[in-house]
Amino acid sequence: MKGSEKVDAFPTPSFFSADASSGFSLPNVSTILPAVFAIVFCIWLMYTLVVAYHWFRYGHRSLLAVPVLALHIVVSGTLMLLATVGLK
Amino acid sequence: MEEFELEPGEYIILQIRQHVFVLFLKLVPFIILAAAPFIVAPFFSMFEGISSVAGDLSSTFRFFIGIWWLFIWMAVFQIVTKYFLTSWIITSHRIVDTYQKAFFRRKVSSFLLVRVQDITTNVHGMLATLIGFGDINVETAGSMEEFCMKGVRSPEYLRDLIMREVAVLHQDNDMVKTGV
Repeated sequence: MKGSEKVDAFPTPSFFSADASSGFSLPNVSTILPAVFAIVFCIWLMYTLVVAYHWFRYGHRSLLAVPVLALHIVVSGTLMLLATVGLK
Repeated sequence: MEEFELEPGEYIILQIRQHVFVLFLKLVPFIILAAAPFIVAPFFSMFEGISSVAGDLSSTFRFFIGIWWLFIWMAVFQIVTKYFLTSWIITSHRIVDTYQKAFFRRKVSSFLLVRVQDITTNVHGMLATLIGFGDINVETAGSMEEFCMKGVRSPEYLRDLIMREVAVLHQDNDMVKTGV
């Protein structure tokens, strides 16, 4: 067999900042949180579409439909901003 | 397309929903859940010693609080949506019961006022008595189903209103039968 390079069949995922000498350490959150946020945002988007459908389909006679949906988007946006501000 | 259409000569007398206090009672658990992160926060700060490995935990903690509150808000908004989309519409001829059990689960049923046999109101408890909300059960002739609306405002007033409309309808029918 030629050469002395070792082939790692199971490489450590890049989001683990584990150093072999220091043992186990927590995954690097700065790479995980954006992915978590993307999933949450997709769930929120689907939820908002469903809610908007119900309000416009069944509550269309009510003058509240548009203000209530606007309130939902404003509050959700504020909470998402709270979650994402400060993330590196 | 409308869920129900008014017949000629039919008009809406009243649209009723559950009392706002009933909505508030449903939201109380979510208020407690929203405050939960502040109870957990002291335990979370125990891990600050390893922040160099895990990154900035204060921003991480804020991230999870934001996501937590977002899900709570979504749950609250779902309850508010169900509250607004569930109602009883009392017309001059019938009562239309619209019930939004969940998203994509909606039941709309109506029954003629002339078939109403008995109306029962139930005000149970001190809060319900003081604030003025309760349940109404309407029994109709020829139907095994009993129509019930829980936690409506002023159930006695509604019972009297429905019974008055029923009496008017019966009076009109009698006049038609006797040819007066």
